[in-house]
Amino acid sequence: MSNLIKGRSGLWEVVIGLEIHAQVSSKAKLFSNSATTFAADPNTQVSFVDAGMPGMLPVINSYCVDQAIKSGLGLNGKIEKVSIFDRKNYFYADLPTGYQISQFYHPIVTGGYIDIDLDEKTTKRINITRLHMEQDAGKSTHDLSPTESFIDLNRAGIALMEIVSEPEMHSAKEAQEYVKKIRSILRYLGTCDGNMDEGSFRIDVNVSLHKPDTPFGDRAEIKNINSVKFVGQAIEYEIVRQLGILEDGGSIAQETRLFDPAKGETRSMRSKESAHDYRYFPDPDLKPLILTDERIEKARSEMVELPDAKKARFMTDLGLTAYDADVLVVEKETADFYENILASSQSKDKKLVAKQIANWLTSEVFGAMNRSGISELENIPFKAEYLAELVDLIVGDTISGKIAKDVFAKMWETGDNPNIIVEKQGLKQVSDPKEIENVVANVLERSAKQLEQYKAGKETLFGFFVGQVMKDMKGKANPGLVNEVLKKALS
Amino acid sequence: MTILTQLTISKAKALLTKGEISSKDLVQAHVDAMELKKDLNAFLTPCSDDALKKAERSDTMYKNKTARALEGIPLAYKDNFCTKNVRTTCGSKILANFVPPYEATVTDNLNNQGAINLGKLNMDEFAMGSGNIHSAYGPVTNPWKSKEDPSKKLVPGGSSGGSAASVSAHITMGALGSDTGGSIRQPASFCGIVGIKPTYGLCSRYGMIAFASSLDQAGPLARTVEDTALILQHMAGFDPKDATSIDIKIPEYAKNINKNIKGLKVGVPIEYLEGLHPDGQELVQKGIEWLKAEGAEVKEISLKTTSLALPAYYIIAPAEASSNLARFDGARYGERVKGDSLDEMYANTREEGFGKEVKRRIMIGTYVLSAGYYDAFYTKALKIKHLITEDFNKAFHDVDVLLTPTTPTAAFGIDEKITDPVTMYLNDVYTATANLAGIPGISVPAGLDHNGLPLGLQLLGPRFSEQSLFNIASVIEDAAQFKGLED
Amino acid sequence: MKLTEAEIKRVAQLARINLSQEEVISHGQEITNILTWIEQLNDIDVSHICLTDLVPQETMVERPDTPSTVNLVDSILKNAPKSSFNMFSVPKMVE
Repeated sequence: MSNLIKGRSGLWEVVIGLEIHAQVSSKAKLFSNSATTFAADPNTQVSFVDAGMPGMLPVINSYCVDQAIKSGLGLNGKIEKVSIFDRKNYFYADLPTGYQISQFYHPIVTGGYIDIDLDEKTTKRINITRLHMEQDAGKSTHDLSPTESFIDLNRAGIALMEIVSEPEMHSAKEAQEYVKKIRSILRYLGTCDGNMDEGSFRIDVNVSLHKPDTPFGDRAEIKNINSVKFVGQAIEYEIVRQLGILEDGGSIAQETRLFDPAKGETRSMRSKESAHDYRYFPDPDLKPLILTDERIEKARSEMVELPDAKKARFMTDLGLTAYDADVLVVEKETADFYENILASSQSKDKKLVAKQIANWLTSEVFGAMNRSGISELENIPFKAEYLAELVDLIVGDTISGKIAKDVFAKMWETGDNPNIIVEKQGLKQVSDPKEIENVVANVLERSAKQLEQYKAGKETLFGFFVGQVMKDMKGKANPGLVNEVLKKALS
Repeated sequence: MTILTQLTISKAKALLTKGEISSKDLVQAHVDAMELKKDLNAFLTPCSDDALKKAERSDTMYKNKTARALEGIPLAYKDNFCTKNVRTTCGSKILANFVPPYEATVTDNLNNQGAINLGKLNMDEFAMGSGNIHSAYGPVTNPWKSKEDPSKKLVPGGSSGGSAASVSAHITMGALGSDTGGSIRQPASFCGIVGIKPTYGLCSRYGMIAFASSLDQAGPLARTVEDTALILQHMAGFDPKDATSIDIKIPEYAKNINKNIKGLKVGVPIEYLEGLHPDGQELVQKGIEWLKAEGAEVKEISLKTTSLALPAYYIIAPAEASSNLARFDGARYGERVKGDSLDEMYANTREEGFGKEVKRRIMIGTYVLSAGYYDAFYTKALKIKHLITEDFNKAFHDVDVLLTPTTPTAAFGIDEKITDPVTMYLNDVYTATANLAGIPGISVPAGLDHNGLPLGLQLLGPRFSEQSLFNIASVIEDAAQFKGLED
Repeated sequence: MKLTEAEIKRVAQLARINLSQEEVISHGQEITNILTWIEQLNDIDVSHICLTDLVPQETMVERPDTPSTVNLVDSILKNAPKSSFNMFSVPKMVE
């Protein structure tokens, strides 16, 4: 699969690197004890430290450190036992101290990688340069007055993990898969909720083009994209824009751009600093962060099985297809929900049940949730174990798959146990060969004309007979048996 | 009759406890002195009314026998300590009307022991200076006068000039200052009083407006070693709001003062004597004799990294300051000068709000941190800081304490035109080393120069050796019999 | 090492401080003097020291993840030169 783009003068390769800013799932900020709740009234979650008042000092939140360690482990990175916080100095209204506390020279995690799925069979490894901790900035509002901007510092000081990839992606799709995988891993670990709507997961995309086997081209940075879809759109737009400039003999300005979702375009930002000289130096209000082996091992012991490993296990142990496994592991809640249901199944053939439950969950349950407007699995109108019982009924031949759909609908409506529904409505499948033989005989008797046609070669009439048997038995006949009996009777 | 402003803190405490004097009278006497000696310009924001109210409360505490360690004792705080609901300017125009909604930990600690704040003290703007001539509110005058020209106004030293002058002139019983390159010890020496810069991390920096974060330390100034020790023991201590604060038990410094120094090993670094003015040389010699007389062993040692200290200091301190002062931009507090754009507002505000010396240091600091120069200057200076620390560590394997002069000369004239900033910076040559190494240093008044102006002797010890410094300083104090200014 | 006017102006811009032309010259001179004096450090070899080796004896204090429930908005805005809607007001920013 070639990711090369055809331009007028030849083939170009797109080079993409991503910087993800993931807000740590902490209750308090990184260096102060202010709360981090989303959408609080302006400046109500701001301490004197956050406001950069004279004499105020940062003290690090130990939970945030532990989440960074866990995230680093989940991304297969190296946890640096000594890391240092640096000040990134620049002036802006949303930066109360005139510097952001970040980690420039010695981040807490170096290296790492994740594997993304290119298709059902192929994965690609994307290497990670680093993960470091830094403060988020405040928010500025520009549309309340023609001459003033207003600053809310609630977000200032919230803990972010910045994850920087190597520039190893070559298409919008690869970038999107990378974003989805990182988000999934962090959500699994519980270190970031990945809520892009609330801004707790933001992506900066660096895009450049070059002819293969030549040095990388100048890149543009598109900042603060907050959806996977927009990541793709921004990249596609940039490719076209940059290709146009380069094919015309121009050069790409190394600049910061913003993505405009309404127009599907990127545009240049008015530069904040004409010369980006951040004068990084170690923050003298903080000491180097020294991590003990115990602390790192404790974080490691709290690691959960990550999506890739879970997917592999679902495929090997439970015999699920890659597709089914993928759907189940995207969200840890879904995978856990699935495994809980599976655990409560009484059937002996685990693999068979695993496949069935997977199907029921991903098609029927998800479908019903969509239609009813329910977004959380824990809010479905019946107990999770009931799905296992439903599948057990199918696998045990008590009801047919078709009847099961009706039972499911009733479960959704009433919340009742499927066994009770089947009892009450007398939906049990008939599996008595003698009874079926009788009905089959009856059907064939009254269908002499079709029987003749069938015997003459019209084999499609088999389905007609099946249908008639089912009708007579009100759908409760065991379909497999019906087929068997009919075949015998017609032979 | 007891002249209340002549008392030491420990004496005053004893009399208050016995009920022989009242805190109200004590504080009133100092409020009067503050008014009488206004011309020294030591105070920026007097807190007289509040002080008298607090004094009344203290008197009640004494009656009820619930008096705390510093109950009813009037102190004054350098204006870089944020005092809740009391204007705090840091000696700068940019904070002319800033009223902090929070209290610095060290002043809070003292207030919680019943100490009474007489007012906020003048200082070099943002603690940058060695003469208190860089305050936006006018210079402070040293209460001492030279014999050769008694009409000439002299500097009290800086940047804690207001602190030193007010203690020396008996306006306050003790004061808080801060020391980044010598700003407690140098003015203490110039004004003939005691001042100590504690071990880095002993006192909390929370609420103390930052100049150079890795070097700043709060510390007390008073007229006697015992008083200084008393204030330190109550202001110091671990603070979880300061990440550089150290969790160590604070001894009862004052009570524990032990003047037995038999067998104490004292080192005199030869580098600190090179080029020293004869008055200084003589004083160091006297110091050596006094200590020997009490059984100490004194020997010359070498601190080879001494000459590196000031250049390293003048990279590190401005660099950190340039970043620490970025928050003063007119956006959230302080004075604002209008601008059509955000950047214009910043530049106009800082142009108006900062004085010349502050601008100079911000410029140097910004320069040494900027791209292309960072490794050559800042990283290098940090590594040299490490070398200096190691040098002291090595010395302290050999000796217990170091004896040095505090300042190269006595107080100079306020109007002496010093055109080259480097000349001014050399005032810190004996003191900045301790800030770089994070070790404690005390200056104790030991004698007068040929002009009748005070000179101090400095003792430097390993980290957390404050008790030892107080002990030895007491020996010098006893031997020197230094006469401060009488009222 | 002598500082050029351009460099002084660049540094002043980074530091957001207006300088008059006289100040550009006088600052340039002063800073050049100071930097020349500082240059005596050039001869000292510190290549064997790495900053991550310089870990202090005491580990850094950390804080627990306990959010404050106190709303400080009034104190935060009390010293603000200009504010509305409980937010700090600054000249209009264009992004």
